[in-house]
Amino acid sequence: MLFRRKEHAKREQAAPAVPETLEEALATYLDALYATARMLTGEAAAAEDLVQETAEAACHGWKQLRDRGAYKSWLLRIMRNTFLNEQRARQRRPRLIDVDIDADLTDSELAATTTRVATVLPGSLDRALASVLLEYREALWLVEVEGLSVTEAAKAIGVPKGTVASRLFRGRRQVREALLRGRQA
Amino acid sequence: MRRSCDEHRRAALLGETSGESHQQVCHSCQTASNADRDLAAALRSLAAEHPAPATLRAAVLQRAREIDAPALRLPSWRWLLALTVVAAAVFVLLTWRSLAPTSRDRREDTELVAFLSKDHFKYRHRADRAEISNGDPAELERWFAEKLELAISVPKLAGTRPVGARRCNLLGRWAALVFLQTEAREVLSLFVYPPRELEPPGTVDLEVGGLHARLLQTQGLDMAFWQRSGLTYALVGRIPQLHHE
Repeated sequence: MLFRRKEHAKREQAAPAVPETLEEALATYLDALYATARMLTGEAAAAEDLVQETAEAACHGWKQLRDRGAYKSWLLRIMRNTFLNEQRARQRRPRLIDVDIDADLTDSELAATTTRVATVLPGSLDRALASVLLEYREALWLVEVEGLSVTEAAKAIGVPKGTVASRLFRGRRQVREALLRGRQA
Repeated sequence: MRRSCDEHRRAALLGETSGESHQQVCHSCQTASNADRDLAAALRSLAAEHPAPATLRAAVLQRAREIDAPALRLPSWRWLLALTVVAAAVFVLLTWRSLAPTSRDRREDTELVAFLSKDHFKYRHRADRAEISNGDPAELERWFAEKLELAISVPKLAGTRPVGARRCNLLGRWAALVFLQTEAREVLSLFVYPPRELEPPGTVDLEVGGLHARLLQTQGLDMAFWQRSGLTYALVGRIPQLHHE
């Protein structure tokens, strides 16, 4: 999604009604939370724990949430903070690197990875994604999979919009490069 | 051309322009856009392959229902009893005011309550998280005596039966955690730990299985604390007797 697409706009229009209770919100976004947790942790059991801890934190904080229309990005922000707190506790915090947009892959490389993505083998995209730096992977996931705008993703992650854009750009590139390496291996 | 493309890409990423007009005249950006579209579609397919497990969904939604629901749903004939208990609590509060815990104790109380709530929620729907699956209280007591050198006594609570247990780390110290299943198949967590300096938190006194306990209700959870043979017991979950289930 180098450019804002019409499909994205349609997805936003088709968004479900705003949940009125915490139960409705969690029921609506649980699959998204679990998928995001898998992306962050890389394994099913840890993802379940992360979702539970996120839900528990949401239980404690939901009455203070004023913008009920922002449930999804609020829940994702809680999940991110919970995950990073856990990482810090284990003193395994991944490196934080912010970069500016620079040259992308060449057209021929792009064409090669486009073909590769279209005929991706089971598990290879999973592995490619896991090889991407957490900060890039997270931006890519929130925007491309969860359908958040760059502004919403910036709010969820707690960084400026431009940083999200840079991470998104780098994330796409790293996934493509990983897929390309997988094909050449 | 390249610089112009980068500027267009940045503006499109930030939602400042649609980028479509530039894409129509730039083959390079069109190729990149197609690649991004395919990558996004592949990632969405990947996400759809792993919906949340049914057990996780059930546990999370049950917890949310507890938060959304009123704290207590006492049947009408018990209101008189409840009012009596509240009046007694007020009396105790006024009488023992001078013995109220310090701010440091209250902070530790808060940490303790948050921990108990978190671990109860974390483990209650995961049978595979029990280190020992056994319904015999004596077996569980022997297991903890061996593993933790902790002489716990699994209480016989009406309407519940033990189903398993595990060790847990309670604010830096080992504690026993016994899972009790109610007739409604809900799980209560019974934490047992050596006494700490602080008093067990609680706002109302009550009787649990013939034991004198202090009750705290927070975030849709009941927590009953009592002490026995030098150990503190904390029963966490929705205690059936309080909700007439």
